[in-house]
Amino acid sequence: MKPWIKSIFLMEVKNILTYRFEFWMNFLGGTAANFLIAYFLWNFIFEAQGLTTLNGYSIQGMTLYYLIAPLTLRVMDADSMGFISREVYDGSLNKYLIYPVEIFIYKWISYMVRGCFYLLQLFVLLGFFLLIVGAPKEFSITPTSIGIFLGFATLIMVVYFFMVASIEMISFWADNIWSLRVFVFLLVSFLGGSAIPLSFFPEWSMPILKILPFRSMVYLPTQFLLGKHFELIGEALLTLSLWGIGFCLALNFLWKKGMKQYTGVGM
Amino acid sequence: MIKVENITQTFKVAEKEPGFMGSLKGLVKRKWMTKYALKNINLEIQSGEIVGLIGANGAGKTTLIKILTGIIYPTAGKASVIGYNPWERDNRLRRKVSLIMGQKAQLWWDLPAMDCFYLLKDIYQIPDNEFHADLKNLAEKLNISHQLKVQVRSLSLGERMKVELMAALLHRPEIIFLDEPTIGLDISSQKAIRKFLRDYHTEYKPIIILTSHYMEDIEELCDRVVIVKEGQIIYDGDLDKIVNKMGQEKTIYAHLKNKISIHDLNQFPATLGSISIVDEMSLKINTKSELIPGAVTELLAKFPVMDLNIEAQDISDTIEKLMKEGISKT
Repeated sequence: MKPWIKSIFLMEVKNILTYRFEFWMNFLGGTAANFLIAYFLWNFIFEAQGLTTLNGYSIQGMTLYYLIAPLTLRVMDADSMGFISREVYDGSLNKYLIYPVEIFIYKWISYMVRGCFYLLQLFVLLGFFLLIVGAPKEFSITPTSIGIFLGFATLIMVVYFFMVASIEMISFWADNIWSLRVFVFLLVSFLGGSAIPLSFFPEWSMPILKILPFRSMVYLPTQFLLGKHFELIGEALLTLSLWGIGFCLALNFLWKKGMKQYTGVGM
Repeated sequence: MIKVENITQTFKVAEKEPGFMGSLKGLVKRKWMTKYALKNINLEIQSGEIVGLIGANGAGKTTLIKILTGIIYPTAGKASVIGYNPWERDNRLRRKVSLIMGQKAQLWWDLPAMDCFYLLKDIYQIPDNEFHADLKNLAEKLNISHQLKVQVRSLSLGERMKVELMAALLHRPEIIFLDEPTIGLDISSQKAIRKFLRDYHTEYKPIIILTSHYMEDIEELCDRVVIVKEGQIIYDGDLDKIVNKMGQEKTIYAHLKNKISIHDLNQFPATLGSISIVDEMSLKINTKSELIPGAVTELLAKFPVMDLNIEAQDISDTIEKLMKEGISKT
């Protein structure tokens, strides 16, 4: 391993820990708000309908799903909004072009460190949940399910990185891609099952969801962590691998084309 | 050595009509215009030279630096920087080059300078003993040792520029590009940076390419200047020769007994030189040596002169004139 890889890793950790208030707000604030909204909404639905289970989920199980799935999305996204485009627009990209480093290795390490920070957050909050509420009957979180989830977390951090980095390349041609990134994030959240579990989607949408990479990025890893659908591991691996290769090729192509458009503005 | 052959750079720039309707039209259809940043630039720089790249804003100086550092691709032409094509971004070249941008921080904003230096040590694979020796040496020479543990964002502009310089020199580059390194600094910081750069060049002899709007930077550091105007080189040669080429020009400074207005300047014949107000009680005349007797006679006759002083013309005035009027290439 090149020595600068370790240094960038450590530097990114220091970056995250530099601002105490931001650290704790990020760690607890955003997650708590999302979690409470989901809890009260589903609690109301279960009580209003007089249900004990819905599509195989108890209220505890549903609450746990809404803890894990959005955090899995957060692990994968890792604050990547604008992580290259912002630097194209203000000229900070120049730094990576002058230093003898590979820009995408550099960027991936920074992104991965943030992803690991959210992964830690996920397991801390999961621990609290299991301690306070207990494990829902329909799920079985075991060392095996945790191991499979961690393997998938690593893979999706590679595939999603290639995907969003490819989208960020559009900044070489477009004035502002912020709305596009927000749209893609919402799309991944919806089609990945972070907003609503995919088992609630209509039957006709299933073939489409299977082809797209998002189910294998959020919904299936969440299910694997909860100890369910292990039979879909192979399918998820294949889907992610194929999309990963496609995104990697797209990124390579767009980077080469984009660099010919780059003007290094802001310098 | 740096060799640039027929480099041309064009940019496509969006045009938008003014007003609300212009903004609406821009949403549907956008007009583009092609702008030349550089036109057929040819340049050779030998090892150990310090070259001042000067010109007005938008003349193309920074674009040329971006091409030579491999940040952007030129539209046409070739360049070789110590044997490498810069825009292929070969790591062997990148280890020998540094770029300092006065207007843009390159260090990691949220970290202390020292953390940034350790990262650069790993990026450039600098041996431990060399790193620590150079770090100490540079920090002492720049008088910044006490600020290395402070977050970069908390440093003053002058201190930030000093740590940027340290960061750029730790790997002992063979070529240093300095893009307005003293911009916005106070006089004493400017002097300190200039002295440091002069001493550093004497010791290590790197190629230094410097852009600056401060003529003191150019005069004190550069033997050779390249003047760029509207994307073309209009002068490439010794700094001293510029003055000779433009004629032995002098500046007459006159301190007056009474206040004068800009309209009073019309009394002075333009054939004897260009007259301008320095402040309400003094004026200056730029003229050629042989015209001084006539200019002084006219000045004494037409203005309430209390005191006179004749000096060799300021280099910045000469270069400004050059950029306005142009000159054939050397």
